[in-house]
Amino acid sequence: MQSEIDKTSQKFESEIEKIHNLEDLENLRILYIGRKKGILNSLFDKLKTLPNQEKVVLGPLLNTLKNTIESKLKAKLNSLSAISGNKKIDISAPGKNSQLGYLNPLTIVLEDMKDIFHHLGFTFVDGPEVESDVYNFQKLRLHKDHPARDAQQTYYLDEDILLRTHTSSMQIRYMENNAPPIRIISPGRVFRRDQIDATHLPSFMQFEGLLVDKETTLGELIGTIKYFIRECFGRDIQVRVYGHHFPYTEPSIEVEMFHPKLNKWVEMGGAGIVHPEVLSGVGINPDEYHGWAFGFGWERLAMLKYGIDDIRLFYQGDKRFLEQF
Amino acid sequence: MKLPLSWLKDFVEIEHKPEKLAEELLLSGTKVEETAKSGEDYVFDLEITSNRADCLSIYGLSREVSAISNKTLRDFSTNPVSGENETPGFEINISNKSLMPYFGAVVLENLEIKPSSSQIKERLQKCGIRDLLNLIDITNYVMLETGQPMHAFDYDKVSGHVLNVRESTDGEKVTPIDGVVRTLKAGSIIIEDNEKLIDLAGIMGGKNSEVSEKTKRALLLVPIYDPVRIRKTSLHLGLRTEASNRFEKLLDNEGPAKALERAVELAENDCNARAFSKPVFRLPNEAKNSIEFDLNLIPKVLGLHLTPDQVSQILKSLGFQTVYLPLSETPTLRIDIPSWRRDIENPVDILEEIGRIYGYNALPTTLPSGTPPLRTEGRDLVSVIKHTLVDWGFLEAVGYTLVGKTDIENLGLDSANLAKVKQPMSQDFEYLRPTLLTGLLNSARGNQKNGFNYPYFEIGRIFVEKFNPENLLTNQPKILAGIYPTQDFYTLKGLLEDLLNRIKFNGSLVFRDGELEFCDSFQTATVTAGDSGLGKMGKLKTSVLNTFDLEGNWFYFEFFLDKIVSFSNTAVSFKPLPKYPSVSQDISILLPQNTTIEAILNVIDSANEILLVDRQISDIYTNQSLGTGKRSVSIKLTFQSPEKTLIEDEVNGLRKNIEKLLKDGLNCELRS
Repeated sequence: MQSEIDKTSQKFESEIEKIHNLEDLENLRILYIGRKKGILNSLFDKLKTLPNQEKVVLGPLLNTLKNTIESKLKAKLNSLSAISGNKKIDISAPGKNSQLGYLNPLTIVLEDMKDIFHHLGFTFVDGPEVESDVYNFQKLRLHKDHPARDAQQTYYLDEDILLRTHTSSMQIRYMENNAPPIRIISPGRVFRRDQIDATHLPSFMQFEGLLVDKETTLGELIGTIKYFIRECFGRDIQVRVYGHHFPYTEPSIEVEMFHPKLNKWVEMGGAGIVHPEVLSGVGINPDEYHGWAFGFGWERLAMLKYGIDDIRLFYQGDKRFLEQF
Repeated sequence: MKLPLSWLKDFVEIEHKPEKLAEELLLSGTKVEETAKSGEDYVFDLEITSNRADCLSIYGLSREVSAISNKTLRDFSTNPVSGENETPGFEINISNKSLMPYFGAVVLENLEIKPSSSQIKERLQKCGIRDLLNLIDITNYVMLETGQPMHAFDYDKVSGHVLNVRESTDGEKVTPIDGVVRTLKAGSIIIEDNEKLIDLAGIMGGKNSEVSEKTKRALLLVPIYDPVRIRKTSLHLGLRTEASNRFEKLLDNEGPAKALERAVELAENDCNARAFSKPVFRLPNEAKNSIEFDLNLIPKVLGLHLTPDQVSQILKSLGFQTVYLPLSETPTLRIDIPSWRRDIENPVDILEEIGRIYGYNALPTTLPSGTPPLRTEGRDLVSVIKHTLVDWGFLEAVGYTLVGKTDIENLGLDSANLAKVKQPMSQDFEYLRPTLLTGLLNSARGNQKNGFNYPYFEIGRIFVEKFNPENLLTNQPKILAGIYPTQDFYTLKGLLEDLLNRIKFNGSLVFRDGELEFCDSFQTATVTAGDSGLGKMGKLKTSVLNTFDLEGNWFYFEFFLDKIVSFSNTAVSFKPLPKYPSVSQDISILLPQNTTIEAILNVIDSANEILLVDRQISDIYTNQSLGTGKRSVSIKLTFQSPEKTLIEDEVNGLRKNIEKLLKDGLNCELRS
């Protein structure tokens, strides 16, 4: 038996040298340590028939042989696998891409705004696009015959129901249902009867900001707007405001920023201190609370930020447009 | 409003260059939209806000310039008018005082009507007003200079020399000086003499009484009209003039006095005019308006610290007289409001005057100092939905709210009960969209023409039916909808299930046969959870795709956004991981094709077997060899116990129980 063990060992050593692929290696493995008909299997069977003195000596030798064969087979397997994995490939050939989709840049801008305004403690809320004349105009001090409301610019569905002309109606809706302190941003669609061209559509998007608190000033309003514009366009951007008029704010201002590429002042939107009559109209005491609000064009912001020149592109869903953002 | 700087210089010194002056005006609230050069002169084209009727005049703008540049404003001095006659030579009757509450009027005789002098012509032209004849030009000139419009009638064409001011009735006709006959509604202000209508008051004079070269005597009327009626008439007729633009705003009720005197002075110089008598005036008799202004508002609202003197100075420069009341509880200024500032009603209006003259850009700016309110927004699930879909290859569409009838009918929908706008700009933008589908299809077609086939989604509002006060808030739900290029129902079904999984949808989702007008009958589903109808999906009809010029197979889906979000379970409670391994076994059954998977799963679930932790359909197989109308369904059952590892015999037993239930409950055969 001893000589059989030695011979098996030598034979294995010479045979494993000749193995160069995984298939042959597997066959060799089965030949030597395959469960049913492997050479070592039959040697172990033979061991069982030997007298004890021989078993005690040959047993461990046979085990050692088995372990050696197993570990050498394993090492060979590893080195063969590594080699076959090392075939040269062209690293510069294209990767297998999936077809990615794209968000509309309006959504990207909104997410940026959420980032900026969440930082200041503002909550985002949404409101109805079809509104009543009362919420869109009257509660904002734009009474039925006010010269500031031009009937040609409003889409009416009937006498008192219209497509909202600004997001300012949300100020009223929110204040009627929530007590101060209030900090909200309300982005959404608004509608104006305009001739359709590269910068005008029947509807466009605005976002409204409103803050109502025991103490707040015009300085905080302007500071907040400056902060937002600078976070959006760059920390060095110049911002200026000038006097204007809205029936629902007093004082009222317009906001402009100096656009570095266009090299001129561009309008960003309007803002102002909420008129005390608007506050008392929603049940907030104007002697106790002060508020301010602003309204900016949402597409306009995206157009200024990205240099988009036609508002209709936001609505056409062209992949060649969307994938740029 | 056009402002020639040369005219401005009549009343205030201009120190700055035009660009600088324009900037100062802009910052204080008067926007210069354009600066034009006219010879040596500059003409500003200004945007005047609707609350500042006083700025629709050269003098009013001069006052603004004097306040912002700290230069003295010259008085607008005029001389009282007198004439030889005791009686005025005319009568004015006003049916309702509110129509024309204040006015001034005088007859001018001895007139020589001819073209104006060059200075008046030039100034009118710079302001964009055509020059005609000297007396008419003077009325326009004084209107521009003072902001007070006025009208000259040919006195001899005014029958009975009487002006009867009344409201029009429905259907009355008038022919103003442009020669176009206008039909009026009830409520417009008109003037008639003994015989005929001679004036569309506040808007345009009548052709039959206009001044011409032959006019020898004129009746000059300088009125204040009811602004609301003027505006209504102007809108109704679509007729807007320099005069009506002023009359529809709140004018200085004392304005007619100086304006009339100025006009007469110019007419004496240019038309050889002579006043027939002293003018007839009806002017306000009320006490001056005054406001008690709490000076503490300035730091409180503007965030600015000014002394009472500084405040007084700013207000004085605008023509407000102030008195400091030191003995009142809080430091107060009593401010007299001049008659030309009818936009000043309460303390916040004063705050605006102070702020804009001081300069808003000089205010100290900070971020909000108060405590932010508690946040009520939950996790942004809309963002999760959008990002998930985009990562799976969808493009995000944003569609138009207003759509055309054609698009609606091309989907097989009836436009009769849909909401629409009364005055659409075009037929393509008339109806409020009842579905997001038209926008999605149009976007997909555009891309297909460029060689791309992408799925699309949109989150936006739809408008179910016509609006009324009761359904205002509920008739415009937010919808998540999309289209997907595939022929396989189950591809989209799986995607939607995965999407709801992403927002932690916590409900039993059930897909059943459903209907959509624009989808094929047997491949359309309603999606519900409990009693809640969540949405639908279906294969778009080829006929619909054809009308939208879209090729290939497309599926559509829609969900009520608020409903699916309401099922999102963010209150997760961790369940410990199982200690012991699970064991799976497959069963296959042969059963009629029209027995649904839902029915099979219901039978399995009805076993209420605690140890059955999952059941998955692993295969659905149809083949002729199975027999007609039959199919084979394989189900992988997974068993697991929290207390021990189940042995093969136990699992076999559990499986056999389920097999028996299926056999008994569904009339099916077991296949090994």
